[in-house]
Amino acid sequence: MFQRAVVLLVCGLFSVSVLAEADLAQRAETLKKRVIELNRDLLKLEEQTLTPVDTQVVVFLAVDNGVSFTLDSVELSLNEEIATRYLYSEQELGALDRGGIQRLYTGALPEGSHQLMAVFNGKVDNRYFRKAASLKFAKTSGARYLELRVKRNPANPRQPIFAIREI
Amino acid sequence: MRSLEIQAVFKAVKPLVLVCVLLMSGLAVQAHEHDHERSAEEQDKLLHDEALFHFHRSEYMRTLVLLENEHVGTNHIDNDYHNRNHLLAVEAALRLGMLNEAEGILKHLGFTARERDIKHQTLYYQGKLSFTRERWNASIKELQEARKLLPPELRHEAAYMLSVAYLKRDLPVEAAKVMATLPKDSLWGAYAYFNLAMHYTERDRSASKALVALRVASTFTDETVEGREINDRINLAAGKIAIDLNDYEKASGFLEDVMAEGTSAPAAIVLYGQALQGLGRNRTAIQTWHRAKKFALMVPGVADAFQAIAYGYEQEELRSTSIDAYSEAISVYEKELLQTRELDEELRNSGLLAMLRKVQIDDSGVEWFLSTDLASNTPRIAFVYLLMSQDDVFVPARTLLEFDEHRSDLRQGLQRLEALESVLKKRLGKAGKGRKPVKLSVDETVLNDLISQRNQMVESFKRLPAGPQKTLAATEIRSLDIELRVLKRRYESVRERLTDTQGFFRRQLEETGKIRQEFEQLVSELDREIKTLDESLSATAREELEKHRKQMHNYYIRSQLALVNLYDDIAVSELQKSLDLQKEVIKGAGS
Repeated sequence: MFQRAVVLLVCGLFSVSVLAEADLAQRAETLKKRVIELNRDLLKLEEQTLTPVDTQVVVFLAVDNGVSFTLDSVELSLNEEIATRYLYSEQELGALDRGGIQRLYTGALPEGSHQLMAVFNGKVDNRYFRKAASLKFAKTSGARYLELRVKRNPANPRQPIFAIREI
Repeated sequence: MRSLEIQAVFKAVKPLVLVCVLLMSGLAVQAHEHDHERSAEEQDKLLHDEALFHFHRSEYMRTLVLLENEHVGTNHIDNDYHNRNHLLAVEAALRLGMLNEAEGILKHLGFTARERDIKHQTLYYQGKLSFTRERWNASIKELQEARKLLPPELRHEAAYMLSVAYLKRDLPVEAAKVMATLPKDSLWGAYAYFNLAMHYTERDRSASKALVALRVASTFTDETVEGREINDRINLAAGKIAIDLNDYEKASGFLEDVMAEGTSAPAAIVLYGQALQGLGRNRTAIQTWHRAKKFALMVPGVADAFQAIAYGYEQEELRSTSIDAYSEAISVYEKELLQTRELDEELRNSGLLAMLRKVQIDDSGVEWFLSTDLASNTPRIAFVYLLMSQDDVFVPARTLLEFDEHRSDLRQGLQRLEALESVLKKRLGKAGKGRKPVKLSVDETVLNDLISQRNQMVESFKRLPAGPQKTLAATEIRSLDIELRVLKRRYESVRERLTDTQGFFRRQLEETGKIRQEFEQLVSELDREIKTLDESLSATAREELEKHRKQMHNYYIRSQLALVNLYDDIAVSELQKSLDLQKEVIKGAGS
């Protein structure tokens, strides 16, 4: 009788702990869902207010797989004014290497002709390397998406290609 | 057939929707949704790659913020990336522990996925979801069906999960069959055979089978950090099994292969000393245990090593060295008792979360404590590491850290909202100064035409016979409806923004205020959750610390007693010597 009572007590405690864990997981999921929704609302609101589509310019950065260039940092200028500087962590380089694209800059520009310049700092075979690329583009109404890409140079793998294009 | 017609109409209507969006692109809402030059697939690919960047940085929350959005401008037809985005969202949701969210997306994919590879990946993720929920039978069924046509990385992970599910169902032969399909360059093989070895140890109590499984597991490891780490764990487990079998020669062979700088090193050093002692090589065993002294006493086996050294010298009849070793042990245990008290005070005053934050390594996400390069020689880190190795602490502690991270994100969000409010207030002020309202009429005929085409599609849909084609068509119509609804909202938004600028900014401000309130409310809820969880985990941590304190106290007392005994022995033997000397003197005097 006593043994059975102990078994029941142990089972009871076990199920209470399992239930508590399930309850925590459920509450955590609900909270996470709300965090996601609120962040999404905020992102939309910021876009609507700060960079509406009629003036929006977005610059992405991508690195081709297998490029013999380790990106250290990028300086981005729009019309000869620094728009952003970005220093890369190992984790970010890994994410780029695995096909990820970074939204490097989102800003607003009026319609007309503009110039984008990017300076890439990094290493090739443990030697420091710095190279710039630029692009003149026309901003019309609607968003303009631009992509900076570090590409493999088949003719000379030690001299990667730094390209900017509209996407 | 009619379903194909609907798809054709949908394809035709789709560009019209985009053109409509383009007409208003100057003033509408989302950047992703508005470029006429990008097809729906191109937009989804861009979204996919951007989300992938966050995903590979372990920012699963951010990945989900981007994905599973309103897929405006996207559809399931001729768009490979639409479903890929869903799959990426499922993986992110699973990693965040959002199982219901993952289930919801998978249900949707179950209806809409038509591509063979997507269908198999959907089934794979259903299997993974069942696996996470510990529904072993369902997991086996789904993964078996999915795995044949998966890309290699997913196929290997599927084989690993299958093997675990079979072991959980106590079917080691089936598990071994699945493991045999894993290639030698997959670390999943090392984990799978390691689990099989543990199964043989715990269920079959067959040490020889376990050792064979561990030897096979070792052949799957490579020279990566992860590969070397798992190899160490394999060698440590094999060494322990061999010691239990009193096969010290074999044990020392396994333990010698454990890396000196790895996380398995302290336990391996202690066991290696035992193996050497078993081989009768006491002096070498003592030298080995000396190497364990650099680790924290929280690490299992380290406290024993101090006593083993002193006892070893005692056995070797090196009494004065033994006294030194016991004295050192006593002082180390004393220091540990003091540090344990300090840790307990820290837990009592600030809680476990504060302690976790103190030892958190930058840029490694909430799972930093799994990091292999953690320095484990400080008491606080060693204690946290010990605590996190317990399943019943690990899961809620991870949730606690996640909550803390979300709260910090939300606080940053509140700062962004403040900045936004200030911008809007400025713009509202400017808009109110001498600006005349613009008179503009927005042509709604294109929108109305689209709506009428959609209604025609619905009429055709109604005549379709029930079946999978009808379900598919319903999904497409639902997707179009969402897009049309958003389009209508944008028409209204554009009209409003052009004709009533002040009103527009005022409403934006109201919207900002509303979102800010929701942010604040969620921060308060997280505060409460964090407080409750932190209190409960801190209590558990203090219990663990109390166990450690008692253990250290026992070691302390035992070492003191051993020292007293040793001094006693020395005193007795000195007394004996002096008595013997006296006897000899008396004897000499008498003769």
